[in-house]
Amino acid sequence: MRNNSSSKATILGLLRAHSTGGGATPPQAVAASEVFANLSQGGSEELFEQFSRAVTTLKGEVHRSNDMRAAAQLIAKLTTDGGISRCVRQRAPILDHLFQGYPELSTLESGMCVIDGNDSATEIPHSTIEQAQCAFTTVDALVARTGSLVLRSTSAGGRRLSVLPPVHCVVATLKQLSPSLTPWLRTIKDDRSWSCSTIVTGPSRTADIERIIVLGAHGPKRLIVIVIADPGETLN
Amino acid sequence: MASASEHSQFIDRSEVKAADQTHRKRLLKVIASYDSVVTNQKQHQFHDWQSARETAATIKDYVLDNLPELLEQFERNATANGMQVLWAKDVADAHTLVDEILARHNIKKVVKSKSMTSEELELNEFLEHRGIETLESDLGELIVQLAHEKPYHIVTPAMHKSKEEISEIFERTLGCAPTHDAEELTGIARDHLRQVYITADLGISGANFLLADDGSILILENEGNARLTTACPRVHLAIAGIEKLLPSITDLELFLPLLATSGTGQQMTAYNSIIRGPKRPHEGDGPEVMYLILLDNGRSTIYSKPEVRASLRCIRCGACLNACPVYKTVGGHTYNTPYSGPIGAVITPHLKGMKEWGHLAYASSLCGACTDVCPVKIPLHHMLLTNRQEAHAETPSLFWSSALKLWAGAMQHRFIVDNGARAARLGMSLLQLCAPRLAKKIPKPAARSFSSWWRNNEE
Repeated sequence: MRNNSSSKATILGLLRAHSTGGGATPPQAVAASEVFANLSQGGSEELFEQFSRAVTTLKGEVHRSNDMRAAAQLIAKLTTDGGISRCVRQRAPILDHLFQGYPELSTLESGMCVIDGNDSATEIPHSTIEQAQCAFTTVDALVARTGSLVLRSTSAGGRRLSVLPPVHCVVATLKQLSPSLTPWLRTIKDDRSWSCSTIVTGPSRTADIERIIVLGAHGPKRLIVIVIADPGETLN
Repeated sequence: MASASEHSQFIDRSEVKAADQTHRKRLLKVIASYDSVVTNQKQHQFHDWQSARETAATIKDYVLDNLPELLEQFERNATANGMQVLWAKDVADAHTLVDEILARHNIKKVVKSKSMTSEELELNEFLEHRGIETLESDLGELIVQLAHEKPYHIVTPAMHKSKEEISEIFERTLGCAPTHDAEELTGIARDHLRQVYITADLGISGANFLLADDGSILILENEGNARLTTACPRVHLAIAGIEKLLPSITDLELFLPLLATSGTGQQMTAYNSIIRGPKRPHEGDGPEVMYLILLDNGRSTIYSKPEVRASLRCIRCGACLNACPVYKTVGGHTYNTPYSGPIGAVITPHLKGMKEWGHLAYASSLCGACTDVCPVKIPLHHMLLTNRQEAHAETPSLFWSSALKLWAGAMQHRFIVDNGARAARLGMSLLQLCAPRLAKKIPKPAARSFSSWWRNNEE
């Protein structure tokens, strides 16, 4: 780009003329336990309770399934009740196992558009995803304190999948619960494979009109989180 | 001439807005609802809000102390991530860069998510002039864009509009049926924008933070419009001020809840996206190219002035606007700047010129409510005093300096004070006879001076 290096030199020159630092060590990373009053110290059951409360407060839905079969039955019921038949999902071991391994979901799977967020060969048009009624994805982690889900472009079917359809259904495991965001932040720092990651807390919302909260502003109106306690040996 | 006009326009607009009861009622209702959730969130979430803001201020001060080095570190890491980092000294510089991006990628249609830096650049007008179709995607921003207005507030751009007004705007510009239901109005915007995300060539966003160690940008939003803006179009352009840095990705643990709490009273904003660059070769979607414009536009001037440098800690939460008795009375548009309220009054004169904008420092009662609520502890009301000094030095008024000298001299002589008051009473009686309407507007002088009362009542 034209004139770019000269602008950079000018700006940095102006700053350097008045900069006071140079070599000082950065402040220590903030420990979540020191800052937040609502950080859970308990085990996975307590974390699940806190996570569930936080998501429900935000009008998201949390379901707990003991195993894969229960999760498949739950998804079958949720989709039937919601009149959902046109779905998209991410290609991921836990979702492949659910949708291909249980007859309850075979009808849903037969009309399913499966997307590999880690494969540029799958050039799926925006409209296909936009017209789906529900998207199924996995997550990197669940944050109990804030009821947040952490999605990565390489491991959640890309950037579009979890935001275009009106319903986003997440399949996670109890082991993915973390008290705070920090452990995940530390892990992803060294993984340079992804280009976009989103920390999702509740369904899409707006309060731009007279501060009245409306769900589903531009993203999903419904956020469903299914937490599987024991997904079995291979998937745990 | 120009200085007189901005200043006098400010006063004219203030007089209109301060007397507009409907406007005031709506504003106070919205801010009262904000206040209650924010107070709750501070207590519910933090051990000690005061120490959290102290920590945040320390981190931002470290950023300012090491700004040139951190900017270079950020650029190195972002470039390694595939982002194209560009630098803009001022508005003209940024416009040139945008022009080159438009030409290089043959851009015809733009979708924008909320960005205050793009307001500094008046980007919508700029793109319109070039015949580029541009649509704001944040609901509040869309409403003010369709109404041909500027954002009213840093965080909630359409907080001054009623459901009825919004319905009228949508009916007129989008041709939809009128409705006074907030959910239906939101649905209209959602449906209208869906096709725009999918067909736009370029997505333009701001950035709430730049992470030096990760080389990524952060976008906080609740609606999902920024996620769509940065996911669907083939080119993504982000524009950020050079002060937006945080040293490390781990600083998000504190700064995401901090901004959410002060901005909207949420524990976390619904969507916090960390964007490192365009899609990776192996990834299935995302833009093919990503640019980031690092914008100076007067920030280095603020940086050079020790008295106001800390204003660069600002994370644009809008809390000082909501706390300010002047903002709550005159409203956002009266300021006529992208950044209104106390923070706007502090930074605007340094970004756009003290001569024309120095008057904003006087749009404050110096009560310090802004300083009290600031999550990064910017001493805003002290800076407003500093700006007053600088504004005064820029445009010294012979009238005022001589008038104040005379006043100071007179105040030191009892004889002049007593007789001055006597003369004022006489003047008022005359004025009441000649111009009673004018006399009504002027406060009546006391019937007698304090010293004469004291003489008579002294035991």
